[in-house]
Amino acid sequence: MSVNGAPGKGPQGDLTPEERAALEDRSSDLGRKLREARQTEHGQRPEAKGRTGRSEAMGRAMKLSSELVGGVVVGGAIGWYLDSWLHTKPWLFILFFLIGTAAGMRNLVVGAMQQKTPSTPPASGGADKDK
Amino acid sequence: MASPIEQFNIKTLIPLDFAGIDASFTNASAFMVGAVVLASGFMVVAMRERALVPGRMQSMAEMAYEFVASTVRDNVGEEGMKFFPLVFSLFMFVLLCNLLGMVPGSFTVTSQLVVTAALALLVIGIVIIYGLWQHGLGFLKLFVPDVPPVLLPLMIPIEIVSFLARPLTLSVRLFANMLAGHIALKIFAGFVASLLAAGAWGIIAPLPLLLTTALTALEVLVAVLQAYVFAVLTSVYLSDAVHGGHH
Repeated sequence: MSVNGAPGKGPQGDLTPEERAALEDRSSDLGRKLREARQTEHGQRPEAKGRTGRSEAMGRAMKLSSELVGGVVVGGAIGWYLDSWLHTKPWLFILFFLIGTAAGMRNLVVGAMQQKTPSTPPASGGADKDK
Repeated sequence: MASPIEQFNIKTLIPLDFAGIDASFTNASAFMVGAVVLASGFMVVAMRERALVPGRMQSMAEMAYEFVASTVRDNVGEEGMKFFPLVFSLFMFVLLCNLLGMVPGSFTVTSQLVVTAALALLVIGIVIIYGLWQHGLGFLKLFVPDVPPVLLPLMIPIEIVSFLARPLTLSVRLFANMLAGHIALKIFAGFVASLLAAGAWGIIAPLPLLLTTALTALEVLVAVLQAYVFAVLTSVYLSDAVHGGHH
């Protein structure tokens, strides 16, 4: 489409060249926005990411703060149960308490590592996540 | 002043008994039904128009959809979208239960460990069953990290315990946040009443009132955040089931 078409031609004949140029600008602008929207359709929208960044960070903090405790409690509980079952008090409790602490640490570290690179491209399907 | 934990009492509304199992319809059941009815009712009503340019209700519903969809896509990938209905239902249920609990005088379903534990066990159960079904025994590679073989006897128990800790942290996080938040609210609100009843001390009664107001805002934030965290972690765990142990 040519911008400098003479007035009086075609269905938009009564537009001045300036108006027509403005129309062209707007339609190409719209086209660009549509293309951008299509590209980000299956990914994270950048502007939405910035807005939710703060509450997302709080969510992460809440998530991480309970990881360590969870590992210790589960490890301790397993050890306690095995001890009373096998009559090996207190050795398995001590062992599993330590394992549980390590597991909690592991969850904490893995969780923190994941969050450093939250925007993995969806195509890779999170295959590069975790370890 | 009423006890701060009185609000968590389960009251039987309709007594039911199946072969010796107490299956009464309680206030907890009522609020769960309420959350489900509200969530599905909202989605149905909001999407009735199906307008190309969404109205207020429709854009809220679409925001909820896109929010959960991008969470699932980010954490599991495109193939994880088959779990989208599960994650979306869990998110809406937890969100509505949390927000219903913020209505004064209502009951907070998610402050009951048995409810959050059931939700967490559902998630972990699906992860284990789907993982074993998709990858067979190869799913157990999840417990074998990439470390020198010498370290494996140490690392495998750690990985197993850390996997077992997931349902616990998932359920306790939600339950503890809701429980603690509601107890704190009740206690500070109770201070206002007891200060007003204490004669001259009534002059500082607005202080706990201000704090209660601030806490209420915080609790609404926590209610939404916890639903979000639940949805994110569900997707993270489902990612293990979809992609198996090999990363």
